[in-house]
Amino acid sequence: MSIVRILAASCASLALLAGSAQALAGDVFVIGNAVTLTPDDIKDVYLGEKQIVGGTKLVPLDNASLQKDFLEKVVKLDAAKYGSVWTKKGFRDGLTAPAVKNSDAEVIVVVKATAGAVGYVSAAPAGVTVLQKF
Amino acid sequence: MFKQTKGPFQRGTLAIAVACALASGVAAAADTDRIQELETKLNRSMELINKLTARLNEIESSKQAVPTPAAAANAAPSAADAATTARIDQLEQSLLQVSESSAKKADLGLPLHGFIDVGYGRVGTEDPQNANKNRRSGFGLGNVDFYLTPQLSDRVRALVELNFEYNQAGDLSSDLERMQIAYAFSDAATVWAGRFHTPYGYWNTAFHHGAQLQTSILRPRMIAFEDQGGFMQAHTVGGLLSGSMPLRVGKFQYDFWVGNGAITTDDRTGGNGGLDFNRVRNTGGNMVGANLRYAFGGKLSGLTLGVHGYHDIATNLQGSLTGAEDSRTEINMLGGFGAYDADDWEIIGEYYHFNNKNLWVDNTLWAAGNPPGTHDSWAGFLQVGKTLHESWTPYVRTEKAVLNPDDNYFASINNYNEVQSGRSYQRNSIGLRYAIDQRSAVKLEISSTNELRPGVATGDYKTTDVRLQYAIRF
Repeated sequence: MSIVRILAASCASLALLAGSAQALAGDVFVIGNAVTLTPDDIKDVYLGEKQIVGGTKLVPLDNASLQKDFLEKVVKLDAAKYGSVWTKKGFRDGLTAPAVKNSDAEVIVVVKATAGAVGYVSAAPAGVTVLQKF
Repeated sequence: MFKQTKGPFQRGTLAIAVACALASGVAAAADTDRIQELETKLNRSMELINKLTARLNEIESSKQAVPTPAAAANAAPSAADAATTARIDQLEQSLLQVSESSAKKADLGLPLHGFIDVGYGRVGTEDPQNANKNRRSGFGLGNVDFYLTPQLSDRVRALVELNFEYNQAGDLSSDLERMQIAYAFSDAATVWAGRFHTPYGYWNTAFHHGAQLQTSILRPRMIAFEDQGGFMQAHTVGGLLSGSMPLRVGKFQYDFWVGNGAITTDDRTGGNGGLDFNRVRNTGGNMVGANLRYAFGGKLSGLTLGVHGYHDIATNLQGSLTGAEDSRTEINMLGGFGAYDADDWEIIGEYYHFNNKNLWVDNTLWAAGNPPGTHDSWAGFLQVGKTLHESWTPYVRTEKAVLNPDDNYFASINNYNEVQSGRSYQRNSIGLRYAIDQRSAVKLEISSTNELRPGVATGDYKTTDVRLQYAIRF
């Protein structure tokens, strides 16, 4: 009986691992409020190279739950290099790094409420403009 | 009804499971109950998430299903729909408030950033009495550098930097490194006013007092700070226009600045040979300059190439900053620079060419010396570093300055403390930087300097120095 339970537990663990891997490899949806951005623009926004579009000040948001995927797919940097880029930007140009939100829900709510806000989430939400999908 | 047959998939799954079970061993058996408990909790959570997702979709769908005017006329919105919409709005508002409240709790005010560095060195020096070479070693305090970046509104931001350090005499000095306020019209045009890092080359604005940011311990001597023997203003008090414009591939970036011209306290007439960036306008000199560069995109992303130049009227004063003027020099610098920061490589090179003109000399001080005329000088450096295994960065740097001693400007600053900034020199450095983590690094650097001292009886000055530095940022 005990061996059966161990086998079941092992299989469940494998299934969970497979599920996690699938979740990590999911799509990243970049959403925005009252802005239009190309993929290159989005990279520039998150590197502090683009701050204003059509007279609107951009407000980029990081999503802690999805940051690793986003940085790999869109910004093409790891978290360490990304942090270093923003330290240099802050020191040289006085810019402030994107605010960090904890979840899709938080990002969506702030994007909905803030003109110029740009964020990224793991699923396309209703009622918000999806700028790009990666 | 299903057949109890064992196909390849089932057999494979069983084999993997058995292998996992064997690998887990007896310890796994002890954890089985705990795993089951976790599975149960996970299943409950998944059920809850699924229910919430379904409910959210249901609510969003009903919210999106806005009736056409005709339909609305025929069928008045039910009280249930109105209530649902109100609940959604209320829910979103609550979430927004929670998010803002959470952000406020985390944000205890304006973040304070900065750099600290300490070190150990065995460096050559000169005995002021007999000009013989000596060597001294010991621990030393570097800088404590604080900076703030308040974002006052969508378009207005500021940058304030305060630095504390011990000078050569052992006195603690404080310096308002930067105090600048910006208004951003667009990405292509931001205007700054105040005291800022003079934007020549790449190094001066990228690293400055950020010891942890820069790979090496020492800055190239030609761009040392004013109070440490530099012969160019590392800071300017004035106005700065900066911007960036995207091109087909890459970006064009620029800085134009205007500010107070340099003043020196001439060591030939009793001063200490120091360079001052003229924080309170008290001379007739003005400085204007430009930095134009192209930041490559695509496969060359990380590469920046540019040209830079400035024009300045430097005033050399007798004895002190309130002394009378003893000479005046027109400074014309034109040069180029490049930087590559990608693929674990860091390559930085800068070149400065000077075509300076002695404008005026007090003939009662120098009847025959420093005649009017133009004098060419140049300076440049190249540093190459490569990061290995994410933490180790060996690097080398070579630098050289060939400065004309008949140039009034360089002649007036050739004896400041231990760094004769107006003298020609050559220095080669080799070092190793180890990144302990993202915010701290230890560096070891060996540099060999040969300074030319024409007319000095003891001849050229040579020294090989060893330095160790521990630098952090916060």
